[in-house]
Amino acid sequence: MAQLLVQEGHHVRSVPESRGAGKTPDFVACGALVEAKSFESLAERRGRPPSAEGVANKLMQASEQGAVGIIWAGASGLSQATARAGYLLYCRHAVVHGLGKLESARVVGEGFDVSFDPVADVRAVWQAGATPRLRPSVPVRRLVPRP
Amino acid sequence: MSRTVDLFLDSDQPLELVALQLSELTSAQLSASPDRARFVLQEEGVTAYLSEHDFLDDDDLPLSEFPYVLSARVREPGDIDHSPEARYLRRLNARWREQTGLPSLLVIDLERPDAPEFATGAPGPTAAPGPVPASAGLPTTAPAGMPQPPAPAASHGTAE
Repeated sequence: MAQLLVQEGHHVRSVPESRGAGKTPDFVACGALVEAKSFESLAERRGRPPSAEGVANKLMQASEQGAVGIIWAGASGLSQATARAGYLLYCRHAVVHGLGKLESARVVGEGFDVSFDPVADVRAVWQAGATPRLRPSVPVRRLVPRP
Repeated sequence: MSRTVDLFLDSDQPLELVALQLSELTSAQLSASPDRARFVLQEEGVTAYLSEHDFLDDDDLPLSEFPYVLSARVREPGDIDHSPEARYLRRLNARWREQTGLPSLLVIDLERPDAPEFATGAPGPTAAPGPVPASAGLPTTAPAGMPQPPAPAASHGTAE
């Protein structure tokens, strides 16, 4: 994942694990704290691809540690539709439970790479009490906020 | 890429009392965060955070049935099933069930229940070398002030 961000032109450095001082993100990319999560391969998952709830749970977990949450779905069998459904679940959940630290979310799977703006989408859900209209994927370089 | 091993715990006690129970089940004192919303357990090189959670149920993971989670981030790359964090939480899981009689669920990276072949005392065909005794690092008697373990209760997961 860090290599992917480097290839995209970001300056990436890892964050040493703290001991007892709280959870730490995986790395810093262009000044933004990034938490990367992954799904096991479809074979390791015994042929069952991740669910929308699984995606939402990964985002919730990432939101505890990083401003940017990236899910690497690789060969897990996750579809783009499920990724989006999972993100929507996360937004609805965040209306009640809070966004945590998350300011940007990205899901990379086989054949797709989608990015989201949870701050705007959760606000939209909260204001409208309705399903947010998910924007089309934004250019990758905008995914990591620059200081 | 970070991965976690999460031990989901059922209890009708408040977080602080669950932290106390875990302290008594281990030889470690759990320390509270400033807002006391989270407790940190450090033992045998494993760091785990106890807190309430609001994860969603996911297929065969009925996470909402468990109000608390003890989450350990896996420090080293490699097979997560054989990580020190997984082995430690497996033992603690067994101890929790034995001493409290309460359900618990050990989950690997928020994706799947811990596999039965990795359950405490039953190393699978690919188990890591040098199995750790089930009681290593953990007391073998019921903690003071805690009820004696009742008959095995209905429980979730596979690490019986």
